[in-house]
Formats: sequence, C-alpha cells, structure tokens
Amino acid sequence: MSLTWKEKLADKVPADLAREIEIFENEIILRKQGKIDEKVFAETRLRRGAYGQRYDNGQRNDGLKTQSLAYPSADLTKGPMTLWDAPGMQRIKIPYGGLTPSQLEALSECAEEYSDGILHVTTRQDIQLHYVHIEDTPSIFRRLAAVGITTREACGNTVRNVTGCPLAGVCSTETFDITPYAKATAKFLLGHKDTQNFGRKFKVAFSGCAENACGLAMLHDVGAVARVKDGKRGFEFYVGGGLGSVPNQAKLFDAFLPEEELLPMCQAMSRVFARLGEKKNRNTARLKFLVNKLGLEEFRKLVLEERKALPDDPAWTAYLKNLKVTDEKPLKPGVALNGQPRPEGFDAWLKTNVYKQRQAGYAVATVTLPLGDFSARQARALADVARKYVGEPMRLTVEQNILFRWVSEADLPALYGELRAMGLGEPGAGSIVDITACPGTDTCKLGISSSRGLAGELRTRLASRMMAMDEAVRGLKIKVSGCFNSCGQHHIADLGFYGVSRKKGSWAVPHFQVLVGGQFDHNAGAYGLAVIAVPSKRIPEVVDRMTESFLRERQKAETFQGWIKRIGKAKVRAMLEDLAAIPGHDENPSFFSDWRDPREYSNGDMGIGECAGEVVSPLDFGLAAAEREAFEAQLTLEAGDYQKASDQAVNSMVTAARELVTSKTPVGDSRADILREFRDKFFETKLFWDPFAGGKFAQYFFSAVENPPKSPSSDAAHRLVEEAQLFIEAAHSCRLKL
Amino acid sequence: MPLETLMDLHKFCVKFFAVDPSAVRLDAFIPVYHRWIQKQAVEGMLVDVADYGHLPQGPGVMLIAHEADYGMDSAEGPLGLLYTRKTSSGGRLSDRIAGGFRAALGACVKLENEPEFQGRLKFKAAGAVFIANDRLNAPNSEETFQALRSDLAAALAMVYPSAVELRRISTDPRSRLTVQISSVDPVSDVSSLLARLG
Repeated sequence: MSLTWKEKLADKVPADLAREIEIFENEIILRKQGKIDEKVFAETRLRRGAYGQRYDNGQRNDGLKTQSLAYPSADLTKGPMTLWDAPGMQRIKIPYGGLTPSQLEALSECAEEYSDGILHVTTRQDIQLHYVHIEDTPSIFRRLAAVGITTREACGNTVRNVTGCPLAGVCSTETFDITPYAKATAKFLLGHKDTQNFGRKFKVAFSGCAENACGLAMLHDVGAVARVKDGKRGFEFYVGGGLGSVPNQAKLFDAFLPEEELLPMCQAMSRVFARLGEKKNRNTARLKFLVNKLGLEEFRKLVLEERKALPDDPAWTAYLKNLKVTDEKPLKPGVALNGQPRPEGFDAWLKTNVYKQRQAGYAVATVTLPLGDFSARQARALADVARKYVGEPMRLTVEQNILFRWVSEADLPALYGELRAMGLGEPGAGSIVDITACPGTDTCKLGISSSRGLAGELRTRLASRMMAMDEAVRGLKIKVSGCFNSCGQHHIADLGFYGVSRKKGSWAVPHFQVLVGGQFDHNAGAYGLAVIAVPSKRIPEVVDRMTESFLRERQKAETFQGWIKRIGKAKVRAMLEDLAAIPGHDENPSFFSDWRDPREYSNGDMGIGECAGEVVSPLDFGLAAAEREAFEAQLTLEAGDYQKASDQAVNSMVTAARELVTSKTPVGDSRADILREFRDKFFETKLFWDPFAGGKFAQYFFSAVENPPKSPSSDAAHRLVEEAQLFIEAAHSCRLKL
Repeated sequence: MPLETLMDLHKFCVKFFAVDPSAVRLDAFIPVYHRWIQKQAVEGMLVDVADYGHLPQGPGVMLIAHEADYGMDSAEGPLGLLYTRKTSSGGRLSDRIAGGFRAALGACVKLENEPEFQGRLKFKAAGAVFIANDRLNAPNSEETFQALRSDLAAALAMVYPSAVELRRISTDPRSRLTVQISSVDPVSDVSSLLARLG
C-alpha cells in the first residue's frame, strides 16, 4: 500500500501550510490536464519558490551542436518555454538566516532524495536545491513545513526572504539585536493581502549597526538599521536600494522610525508600491524606479498618507511585548580558550574564522562553505556538531557561509577538529579566498559566463598562498556574477566580476567585466563600476596584477578602495588593457571555452561561421569606440562633472546604436535618424532584445536620447553611466546575432 | 517480514569504489561526461554536467540525466561511481535493482576505458553499496533491511557469480538505509560482472 508524506506528516504540518500545499498539489494536477494557463502556473510555482533552471526549454548546446532534450512529458510546460520534466531549482527562504539542527536535517533529506545532494547557500540567506522535479515539490514543502520552514514567496513578485545580520545578538558593534524585528517583519508580510499585487519583487534587510556590512541594508528595497534615540528603539529607515543591472543606493526615508512604526510603515509602503509601481514593464518595476520616478519627497508623502489611513492592526505591536522570544540560551558556560591542545591548522582557522562575541567566553565560528555549497551528509554532521557545542542557533550569511554562535571558546579546538573531519575546516572566512558567486551558467538561465567556474579557479589558486599574503590583500573581497544581474553582488566587492561575451572572428569568447570601487562596509556603502572586459581565462592574471600593484603602490595604510580612488580608473584600465586581447583560436583554443566547461563557448545556438579569422569588421571597431566613450564618461563621473559624464554616456549609446544601424543601412549623424532607424530595425524587430530582459536596454537608449539629463545628480549620472555600459553590452550580444 | 511500502521503492543508489582514489583527478571527469552527452554514450536522457569538485567529501563531478545521475562521489565514503536512480523503471523491485547495477557497472566499465583514465582508474568489483533513497517507503530500520534482503539478494544473484554478504552500515534513523555488499569469492573486474547481466 502506498504511503505519502501528506499522510505521514498530517499531524506535524501546520493547518494553514497544509492547505496551501494541497492547493498547489491540485494546481499541478490541473496544469497537467491543461486547465491552468502556463503563465498562471508559472507565477503560482514561483510564489512557492519553484524556479526554472538552465536548459529547461529543452535545448542544450553540447559544444558541437544544439541537442533537443526529449523529456517524457513532451510538450507539457510549467511556464512559457519551460518544459514540465526539465529539472528546476527550489529556493527555500530562511528568514534572517536562522536555522536549527532539525531544519538542517530536513533540508539534507530533501537534498538527497529530490535534488543532487547539495545544499547551496545564496547571497540572501536562502537555501537552494537544484535539479528538482516539479512533481516532487509538494513532498519537499510538507517535509520542510513539518520543521517550521515555508517556501512561500521565495520567488515571484512578492516580499522575498527578510535578511539580517548573522551576528545579531552577539555582535560587539550592534545597537541592539534586530532578530525579533526581522522575524516579526517576515511573519507579518508573508501572505499579507497588501503584498500580493506587486509588479516585482520586494526585498527587506535588517542591520544592527551602520558601519559593518553584515546586513547590507543599503542595497535593499527596504533597509532598516538599528538606532536608539532618547533611550527608545527604532530604525534608520532606507528605501529604494537594489543591485540588479543598474544598482541604486537606498535613500534615507526616515532618520528615526520608532519600533512600533516598523510594521505599519512596511505595510503602507507595500500599498503604495502595489498601487503605483510599474506592472507592465518588469524592467522598471522595482521600488527603486518608483522612488526615482516620484522623487523621495513625493514618495514619502504618499507613504505617510497611506500610513495615516491604515486601520489599526494589533499585529503591529504584539511582538514588541516579547522581544526576548528570539534570545538564545547558550548550551555551555563560556570558558576562555586557554592552553588546550591545538590541532594542526587550528591557528590559521582561528585567525580568520572566529569572531569573539560581546558575551565573555563565547565566540562565533564560521564554517566556510566552498562556493556556498555543502553536501547533505555534511548538513547532518553540522546538525550533530551544533547540538553538541551550541544547542540550536546557527545562521546563514550573505557571504554564503554558516555560523555557529555561542561556542564556548574552550571548545573551539574540538569544534575545529570535527569540522575538519567532515571537510569543512578550511580557514579564510571573509577573506580573498572566500569568494561569493551566483550559480551562473552552471544552472541559471540568465548566465553568460561561468561565475562558479571562475570562483572555483580563483579559490584554488589563492588558497595555497593565502596565509603568506599581506593582510591588506588577504582581506579583500571578490564577488562574481554570471551576468549583469548581480546575484553575486559584484557591485560591492573590492574586485567584482560579471559575465559578458565578446566575439573574435566568428567565435564567441567568454569574458568578465572587471569592476572596481565597490564597498562592502557601511552596509554596502558604494557601488563599483566596470573598467574593462577581459577574457575569462585571463581573470586570474587580473587579480594577481591588481593585488601586486596595490601592494607595491599603496601609501601607508591606504585601503584598496583608497588606492583605486587615488590612481583613478584610467590607470586601472591601462594596467589591464593588454589582458583584454584575445588570442587567435588556433593559437590558444582554451580561451574559447569557459572555466571547468570544455564545451566550445556559446551564448546561444550560434553556429561556427566560415569566415573564422582575424578580420575585424567596422561594426566591431564602432562598438569598441562606444565602449571607450562609456569609459570616458566614467572618468568624468569620477572627476565629479555629472553633466558632462551624462552627456558622454548618452553619446556612447548613440555611437553603439549608429554602428548597429550602419551594419544594415547607411545613416548619418543625426540623432533623430539614428533613433528612428534603430527603433525600426532593431527594436521593433526584437533583434536587439535580450532573451530575458526583453527591450530593457533599448529603452535606456530611447530614454537617454529623448530626455537627456539636465543638471543630473551624482546618482542620476552614475545610473546613466551604468545604463550606457549595459546598452553597449547588449549591442555586443546583438552583434553576435548579425 | 514483508514491508509493503518497499514495493514503491524506485529511488535508490548503487556505488562501486575506485581501487586507488588518488590515481585520478576529479577535473578529468568533466570533459569525459560532456563527451558522453555529445555521444549519448550511456542510457537515459542526458541533461548536463554538475561540478562539485571544489567541495571536499562532496558528490564530485556528476552527469545529470532525467532518469538517473552518475557521479564520481566522495560524499558516500571513498571516491567511487555513484549511480542514483531517480525515476521508476517499472517491473519488480529485484529487476529494478538489477537494472541499477547494470547501469552503474556499464558506466564503470566505460570510465575505465576512457583515454583519460586507461590503466589508472579501476573499480573494486568484489563489493558495492546499495542505498535506498526514499525515507518514506524504505526508512532506515532493521525491519526494512530484513524486508529488502530477498529482493536485493535476487538482484545480486544476477550480478555476482557466488554468494554475497549483506551488512547494514548505519543504524542512524536520519540516514538512508545503506547496505554494504561483499562478494564471498574474489571477483576480477567490473567487466565480468557487467557481462553476467548481459
């Protein structure tokens, strides 16, 4: 007789979650019967965290040809161009990264039975499982619900995982513990009727202090930084931040929002976002666009009006009566580390992976997860170790690691020994080897270059010499994204990289844009800008050259950021310019495949043409010129001339557009002519469209030419320079199609 | 004692261990698996290669297929070929298990003969591991182990020329039911086992 998880866990799954899962199970049945539209089903599953994965359209280039993946379900889809049987990714929200051993065990079981045995920690404190079949998801949901985890609203146009400092409650610089506030916010907004009609996702983050970066409040739609004023708790409240293709620093909405106003203000903001946020064009639908469009003052006015009109809700303040609900009780007394035998490798690990809590005798130990991955077996071993040394509390971090909090310092050598035995005792947490990377071309449909392949390669090369490095280099942060969407948070790294492609003859070549000037500290205080695109295979040389030059040229205790600022981006570009050269295919074929992927690189189903060689077309020259102009705009921006930087950025877009148009039909220098022809031949025909971003990049161009900025602010100029860079990248992609 | 839910056991793993794990580098499996996809060299609808070589004691490099995954795995003990069946192959449980062994052995033989590994990669034939990858239908208990014995023995009779010993590896109820299989008599190589399965 068949047994189901529904029957087995009937008394363990909360009734409301059980009902939700049952509804989704029925929607699966209805979709299979063709009674639910594929678009509707797609949003339905996304709202439960069930995402698509690379090749789920049934096409895969195997390096020689494009193969059709003939899944048994044939044409049945789970969304537009997404085949039913194609494996997908399951995202699992872990609010503020707080995880218990029982939850870790349930996650490990799901990873083993429904996935490839790997749990992946994301940059927003989620867990992701890959290669999951859609029909296994209800069982996953039930097994997780039985231990208090819901995947509801992990994706889709919803309030995503509420993130928070993983050191909250034990941090020596925090104003107060943000954990109960993050927990209450996650609970209050989950499934709330005012959060169900967004045009795009909505991300919330909490930080315990302004200086340290654990919460990254400035890059979220809503960022709350703990403040105390006149003895009363509240938050510095920021809005409209975000990374994505065009990053935006959050703006200060309220210098002190009293704690009792936190939830109603979030609700009021949700209502305004749902009512006035863009719904049709998803590329301009994030809150940051609404704030920019209305202006902060008008946005604030509307939110405050909405707040006044809200009917009272006891849930706004009920949790404040018991803020200690998230307090953690240490398992053992705090005893200082003193004289215990130290296993081999312990001292290096102690130096980089252990943080002294403000509570005497206790420490936070970071488990460094290579590229954010750990196996199901390791997850169970970590659960055992947690129970043995700390009891319950663990936290996932935005740097894709796991923290054990409340470790008695005297236990650190033994804890290290156990981590090492399970293969997770590597030092280097938060250092140059602890590289953040999004899934990239491994599993993501949007990936252009192999972010994990590059991160893995850099990690291997840097780890062997990490302990011998100068501290100033060892502390640098490297972050890698597979495309411009910044899931790897490349904008806030000392050295950021995002995947792009270039062409050499008729061959596509994987590249990464190199970004400098980003800042992780101060809650992601500054965003880096791209200086040059370099072939993927030369990025390790970029890292070596940049770090060596920094060490050679730095003045006294100058930081990497300070050094970049002093020498300027032009010098950085000049330093790397020779590395941008692409050797011929015959000379070095390795440049034409990506890291840890021997297939001939392709960013589509482009075949190999007959005209392979070194002939450079006028279009390639023209796009190079546009790129140069965009770079000049960056330099002008750096010099503080925002009007001129904006003008140069617009010019660079015009140049790129003109060159594309010229490849099809003669066109003069008139902007109106270029705009018209470009719209006609590249936009209306969708030739210029990105497969996933659609016409977004063309819209940047239209907007810039039709409404050129007058007296732009620093932010506006910065944004325009970013947009110009993205438009030129899109022109390169379009060029591959010509 | 019969355990009715075992009839619904479709997800399981079979692992054959490498004789000398240090003789091969995980990186070397990446191009081999990509080539297998190009040539459709093993059974199943081959989808992609997943690289977890960066993770110590992890699943290594995997060839992902719709029906089953083939990984060079270090998560379940020392390095070896781990075949993970994900979808139902129909028929009786013993036939499904035998089918899993056929696929796993086929992959082992193919790997041993790949130019990258010739003479360096050998799999131990005299032993293997079977994992029931389904805690609902086959929880890790002595009862399940005893119930599974007859079907597992029937499948292994097709694989091994002589008797085998079966031993349950872990009694931790959180773990999957895992059985160590040891041939009583020596077995020369994986090819001979594959040949028996036809």
